[in-house]
Amino acid sequence: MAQELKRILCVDDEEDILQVAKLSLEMVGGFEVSLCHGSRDAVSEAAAFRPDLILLDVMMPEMDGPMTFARLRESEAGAAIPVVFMTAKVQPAEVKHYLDLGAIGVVSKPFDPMTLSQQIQEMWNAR
Amino acid sequence: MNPNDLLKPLRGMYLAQLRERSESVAAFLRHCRGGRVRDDERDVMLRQAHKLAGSGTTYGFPLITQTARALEEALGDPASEPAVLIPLTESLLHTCEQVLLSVERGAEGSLAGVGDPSAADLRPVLLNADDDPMIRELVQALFKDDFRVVTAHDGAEALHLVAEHKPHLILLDEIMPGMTGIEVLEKMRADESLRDIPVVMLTAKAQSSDVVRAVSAGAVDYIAKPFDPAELATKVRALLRRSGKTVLVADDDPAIRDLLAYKFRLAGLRVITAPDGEEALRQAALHRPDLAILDRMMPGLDGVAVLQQLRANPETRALPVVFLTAMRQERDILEGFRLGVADYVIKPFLPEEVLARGLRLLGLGAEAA
Repeated sequence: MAQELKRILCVDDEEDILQVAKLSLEMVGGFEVSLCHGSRDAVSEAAAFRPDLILLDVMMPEMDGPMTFARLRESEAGAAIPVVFMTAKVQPAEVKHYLDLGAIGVVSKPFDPMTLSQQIQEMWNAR
Repeated sequence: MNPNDLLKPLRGMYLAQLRERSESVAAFLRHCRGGRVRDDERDVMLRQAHKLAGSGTTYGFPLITQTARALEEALGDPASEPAVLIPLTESLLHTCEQVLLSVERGAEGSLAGVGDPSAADLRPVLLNADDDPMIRELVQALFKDDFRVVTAHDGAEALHLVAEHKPHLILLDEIMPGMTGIEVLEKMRADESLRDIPVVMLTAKAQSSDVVRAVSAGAVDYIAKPFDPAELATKVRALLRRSGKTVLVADDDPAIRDLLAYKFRLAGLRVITAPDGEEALRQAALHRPDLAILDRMMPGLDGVAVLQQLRANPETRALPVVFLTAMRQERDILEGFRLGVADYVIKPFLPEEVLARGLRLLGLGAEAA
């Protein structure tokens, strides 16, 4: 899987997080970014945008991060796309939980917009 | 790239959100003060606190994350009562309001840094004019923690920067190509608004003729090159304390006295402290401070009594006073203003707020520069 990380899809129910993540990943990381506001359209957005990686918020109303992840895995387009969770709760036990689910990493909120790209890149390189 | 470049375009959106969320926090505070909090109200506040915590630091407001998290944790316990929730909610609301106020006032051009005590730049400005880059670097290294250091490569640039930044102190090299340090000093002396800025001349030699020349041109002190960095640092700090303003901090809580004294000293002011009202009046008469920060509730002579006596004495009548008070009832606040207090800070306070209000009253704030 020696691919380059170019396209990232961000899924979060909060507009201000989506916006800062987009700017941060684009301006600092040079990635191509698509945003998905809320979990509902995550699967269809993954099919349309075909990201290399999905940054997925955990706490979302209606369908939360882990459930969205499960849906992605069931879908054709999203079955193999690596996922990084984003969450405010980052106790080691929780991180292990998300990794056990199949995520390649966990980013803690609030994140530093200057290092977000690097964090994700490192997770991608180590996957 | 710095975080500012990234965050500036998002500022409007973040602040609009913050305004809305602040109102939500204020509404919750009202519910708590009403005595009972419904489960649905608690849930709403929990979600808001979570969101505030999750974005505060990202946008440059770690204090918002900190205070929101504290409230979020308390709310996470379904048995937590209003008595516990109220101070945490007040703290969060205060922090959000501080941020909104500071940004609206345009105190800082950047979004990042407001509300973050370590980043708010209320340090005094030091201008260093020298054509030698090693000296400029040395000065920067020596003083960057206590001052905001601005550098100029020659006399012309120095004059330009003096007008722009109104530094609190200038380190001026005597020998520079083009305009010399003496010429810069003479130009400054001719300008009323620049005349009083203390200048330390860095002279090539320590012969009496050099010293006389520097002092006649208006320098308040000199140091010969090559100089001992420690000696320069000592001179500069002593100078700033002498030529700066004095603030009196009176509070019966030694922790508050020490904290505020530290903050004001760091900003370049001279500080005198008093543990009670009587001592405050004695210090005020003796040292004639330019500003007084008074705790309103002190045993013995309280803040109000001190204020009344200050006003009654023609020598201290014009001394601006800032009250620190836990009383936030409208009538108490109005009473204070009626008695002549210049400003109010409600406890629990952010020391930076006290400093900012104090500097503003002294005409030393960022806005006044």
